[in-house]
Amino acid sequence: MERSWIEKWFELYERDITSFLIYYTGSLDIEDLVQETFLRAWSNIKKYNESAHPKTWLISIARNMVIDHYRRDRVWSKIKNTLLHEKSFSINTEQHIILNQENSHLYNAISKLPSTNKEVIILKGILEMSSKEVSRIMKSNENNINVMYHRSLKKLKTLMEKEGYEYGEL
Amino acid sequence: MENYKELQNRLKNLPKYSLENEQKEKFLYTLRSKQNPRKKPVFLTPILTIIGICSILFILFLTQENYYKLSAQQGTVFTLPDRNQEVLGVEGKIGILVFNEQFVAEDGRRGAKLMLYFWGDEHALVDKNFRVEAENTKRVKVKLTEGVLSSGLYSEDAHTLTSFIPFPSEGVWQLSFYVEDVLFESFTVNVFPPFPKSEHYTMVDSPREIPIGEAYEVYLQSTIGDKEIIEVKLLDKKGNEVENTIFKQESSVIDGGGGGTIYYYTGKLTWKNHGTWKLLIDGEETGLFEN
Repeated sequence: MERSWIEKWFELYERDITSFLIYYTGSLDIEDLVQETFLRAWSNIKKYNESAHPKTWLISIARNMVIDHYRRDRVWSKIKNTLLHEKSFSINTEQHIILNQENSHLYNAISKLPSTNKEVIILKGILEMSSKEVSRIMKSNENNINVMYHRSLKKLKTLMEKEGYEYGEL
Repeated sequence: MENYKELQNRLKNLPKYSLENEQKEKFLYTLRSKQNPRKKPVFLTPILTIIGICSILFILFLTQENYYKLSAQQGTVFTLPDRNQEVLGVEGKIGILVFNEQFVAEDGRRGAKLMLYFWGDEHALVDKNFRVEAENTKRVKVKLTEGVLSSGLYSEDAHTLTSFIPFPSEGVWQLSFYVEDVLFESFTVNVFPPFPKSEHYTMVDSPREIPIGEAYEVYLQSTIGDKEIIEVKLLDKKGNEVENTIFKQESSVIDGGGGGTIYYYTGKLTWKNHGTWKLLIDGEETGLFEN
């Protein structure tokens, strides 16, 4: 049987979506969110603008879904700092097995970044997306994204230094 | 900036994650199953709809005659204006003087010697030809009688003494009264099922007219009269004996229709409730009947 476009997208971009969701939510239990992302894409294909890269669109869906998810659970404005910054990135035993010591410092620092800075770091820094792609996802312009990215890198470095980790020594 | 370069390199080198193969397969299966059912209804729904409509039309076609609706009003029992006598019909238009104001299918006795009363324009009725037709919900039509109307005996404007042929079957029948081929009036009557009968014996009362809970004097009509008494058993629908009694021969008459002798037997039976029954008359079983 010929594979449908959504199956092809799943094979091509599942890794990006899964990685984004793990870093963005700070949890490894994101299987349902990944599936939901592709199901939403499948049912909302009419809204897909073909000038956009499918990966960009899919990540937008995943991002909005997580935000909506937290909005639904509680009032987003009150809890986003707690959920997206600190609590969500508490590294558990499972994650320690995956991450080496060096990376776990980096994770912890990323988890403490404000939401917008964290998003830029994940999209541009970890997933290596272009400023143009990130601007589409975050609904901003390329210049803003570039500025925000450098500010985010600076904050990240400061956070790592605060925790006593001399950046570059290891 | 150099530090940032280093940091960016480390960010790039952070691990990328993917679902486990088992999770992927499971989800792909879910995706396919969600896509496939969407196609099925496209083909199946119209086909199933067409089959459904055809089935209904076919059933309607087969049972069409059962659904034929009779248009006339239901006949009522009313008392004649000038004497204490009840008739069946439409007050002020037409009345039939018939035993118990009730017809029974296949019964010639009640239809024999009927009095029909007409009310209307005397000049348009007296000495005019009339005809009575009956039609049931299965579109079976019979001509019950025809003749010429006479002038009124009492307050009615015209009357006739006539006989109806027996109704072929039970159920609702519409009676239409024509005078000089023009419809004068019509109404419906509910004809009771034929009297219970065995090979040689026929019950003369309709079980539906027999009151519940009292010993009712039942008449049987027979074509054989060699016995003075006969044994009659009332059985329930499973064949269990409810009552066993003796009927005595009471009289015999000459059958006006066939010329043979008809014998009458009588005895008492009690129906304690409504239900389905049969009789065992002198060893002969009737069909099941309801009271």
